[in-house]
Amino acid sequence: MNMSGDIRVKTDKKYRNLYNDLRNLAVGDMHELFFLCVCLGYRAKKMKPLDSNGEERFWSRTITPEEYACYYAIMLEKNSMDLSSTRDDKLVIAEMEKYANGGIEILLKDFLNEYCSADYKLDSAYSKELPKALLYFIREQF
Amino acid sequence: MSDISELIKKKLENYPPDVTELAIAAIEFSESGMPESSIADYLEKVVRQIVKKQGIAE
Amino acid sequence: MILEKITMKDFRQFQGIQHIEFASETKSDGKNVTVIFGENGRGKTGLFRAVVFALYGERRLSQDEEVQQKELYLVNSVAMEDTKTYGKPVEAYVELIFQHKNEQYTIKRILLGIFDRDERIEQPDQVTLSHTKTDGNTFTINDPEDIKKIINNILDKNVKEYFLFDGEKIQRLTLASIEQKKEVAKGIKSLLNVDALEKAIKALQRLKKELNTELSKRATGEYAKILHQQNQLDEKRNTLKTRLEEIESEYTLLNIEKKKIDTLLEEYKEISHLLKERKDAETQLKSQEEQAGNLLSEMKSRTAKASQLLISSTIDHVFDFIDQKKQKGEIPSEIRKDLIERILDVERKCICDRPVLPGTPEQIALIRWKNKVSDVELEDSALEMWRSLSSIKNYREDISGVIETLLQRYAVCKNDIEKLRKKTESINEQIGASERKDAADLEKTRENIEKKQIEIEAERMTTKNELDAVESEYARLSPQRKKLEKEENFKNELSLRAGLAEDTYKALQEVYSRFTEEIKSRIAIEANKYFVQLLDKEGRETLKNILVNNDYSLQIIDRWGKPFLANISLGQRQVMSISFIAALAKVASMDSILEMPLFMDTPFGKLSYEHRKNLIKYLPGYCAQWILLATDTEFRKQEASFLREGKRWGKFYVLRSEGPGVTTIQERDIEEVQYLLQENIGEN
Repeated sequence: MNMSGDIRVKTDKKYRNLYNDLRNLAVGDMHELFFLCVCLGYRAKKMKPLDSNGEERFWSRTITPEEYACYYAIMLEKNSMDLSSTRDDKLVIAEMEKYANGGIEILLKDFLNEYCSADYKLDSAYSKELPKALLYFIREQF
Repeated sequence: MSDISELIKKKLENYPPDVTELAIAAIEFSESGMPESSIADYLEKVVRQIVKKQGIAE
Repeated sequence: MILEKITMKDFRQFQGIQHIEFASETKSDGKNVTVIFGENGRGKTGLFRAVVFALYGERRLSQDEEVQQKELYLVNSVAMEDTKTYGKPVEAYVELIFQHKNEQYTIKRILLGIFDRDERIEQPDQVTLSHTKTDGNTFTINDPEDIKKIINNILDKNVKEYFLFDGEKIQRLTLASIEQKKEVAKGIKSLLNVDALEKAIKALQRLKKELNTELSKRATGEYAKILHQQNQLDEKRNTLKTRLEEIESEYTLLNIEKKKIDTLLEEYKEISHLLKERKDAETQLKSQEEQAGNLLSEMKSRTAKASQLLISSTIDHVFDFIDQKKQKGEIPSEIRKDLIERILDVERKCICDRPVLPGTPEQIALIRWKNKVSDVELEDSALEMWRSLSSIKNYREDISGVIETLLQRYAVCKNDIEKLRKKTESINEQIGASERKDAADLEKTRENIEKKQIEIEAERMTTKNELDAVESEYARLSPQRKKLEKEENFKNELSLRAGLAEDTYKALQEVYSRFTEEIKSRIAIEANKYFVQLLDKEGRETLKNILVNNDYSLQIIDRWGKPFLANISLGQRQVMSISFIAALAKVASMDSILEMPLFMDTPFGKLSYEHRKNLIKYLPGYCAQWILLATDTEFRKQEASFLREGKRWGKFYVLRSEGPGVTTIQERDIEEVQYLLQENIGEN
């Protein structure tokens, strides 16, 4: 696996606050949140292109080998097991970005719904038990 | 003089007469309601009289 | 002072001219009890006010502390209203006729009241005192200052308040506060004329100092030196005495503080088991909350792993694919792709040197191989992927288990937290809403107070020792001084005067000290006699005796020898106050009953049946004159019956309301009384 570390992974600009809040409250780091959103998006087969090419969120060097393995697995499955689809990390990441963009919408709609304001800021009163709530939510998906 | 003061007077009789005399004067002035400083002034005069009576000149 | 008659004109509620003749032993019928009967607000206290006004010109009683001067109107309001119409001032007065040491006195004090626009003004007018001596000659005095001296000589105004008893006064006499003790001490000293004695001592001290100062200016040599030393010692003695008094005050204040803390600690003991339970619950709660926090952190760290479960099928699918390829030897491929390409495109012959020509079976087979194999980079990548995915698959069950466990543990933890919070709330309710200081804090404060007291006591000892040393030194120098006076033939008048002042000062101090000890002891003895008489059975069993402290304040000792003042009932407190005042009066009058009217305002309210009975039976014997101010709920047939039995009841007056602000005084026959009074209900 190539696992390039010099790619700037992007998300939609409008979700900047949400990514920051969730990264602080619910997960360890940005790449973990991104991974979750990719999984949610791919599972629901929901891809959404980024608005105006999105906004840089984090470096790909923070992506763990296991996460990368999952991204490659997604690419393979999506491309009828064509190994060459995993050759270009930039393409792989670009695809994952679209899945993540779809996944965050699922998160918003099915998990965060009333705890988020119109500008995607989390209600701080809800924040304390977010890790537990998120784990429950994930568990309920399968 | 009040009854209590009579009692004090009796006790003072065990002392020399000049002491008794001055003490009784002090009590009587106090009972009259005079302020302390005035009593001291009056007592000064009483002391002079007592000592003079004892026949000693300055 | 025995009151004979009071006449009031337009004074307080008493509109027009009204009077009361008091029962008194001077009238040779042996009766000294006057009952003045009326509902609250009819003017009972007003009568006492009239007496105080007549004697001293004072408008204010101790109960009027919070009332502004201008609101203490003495002139009858109805009469005042009339002046608005006629524009003339109202002339109100009180005339009091009394006896003192078999001589009659009549004091009349006039007060003018008028409205100035809407403002009410009351202006003292003249006061006259007529004094009829035993020889029958009558003198009239008009000078207010002279009248004041005469009256204060008969009954000092500082002690008048001790002879009006109302509920509040009774309480105050026996309260533990420093201010009250000082007040009582001051009054007692005045009554016993100890005040005058103290003043005399201070005056002599001043005189002594002046004379010694003068003497030291004129003296020379050794004599001057000794005089100077003695003067200095005198100054030091005064400083040390003052410090000793301060130390005593400080010590007493600390004791009071300590008592308060002890009370709080007592309360604390009652709830200590609850406090312990609460503390335990709080500790557990804190621990559980910490645990909950830790669990949440752990959950946070597992989110990424948990997310993998969302794409389990993808992971399995891809893993299986690569695994199969591996099984088939396709990854890594048995033949390298670049070798096949070299054979096909460059060498056009196999490694065994066999030609590989286009279209031949050898070429077709080789192309088929070529298509099956991937390039090295991808193969390596796939192998790595296989390893990672294998690892993910292997701990999938674990991660699933961990998530379940975490969620369950968290739920249990939250449940426990909820239970502990409810438990804490319940305990708090049981403990109650009052402010609680931690017992440890209280104990610490108490410890500090005791430490401070030890320090103060040490300072007291040191100061006392220092004082003794100073006195010793002073005394040691005195014979030397006298000797030098003789040797130097220093018989001038000044030194003799100074010496006399010195000797007299010392003498008076000694006498004072012995006298006050005697007086306190006698007050205690007398007070205890009355106390035993007046107390009910239960009180006699519990309470042993009254002690008079150095500052003339009181303490009750119970039968176990412990101070008990704070614990006695209101009724017992009242009885104690009466015993004390009666003792004071007796001692002040040198064994005969002090000629003082004893006013008691609604005294029975807090007394039990037996206390009441004892009071009515014995009190007329304690004082020269008893004037009882009573309401209809307090003075009923039973009380009247007790009084009649005592055969000292001479007069009965009823205060009746004739309208707002107007009361009339009606004398009634004692025999008629029973028809006016209520039955006593359910007592005995």
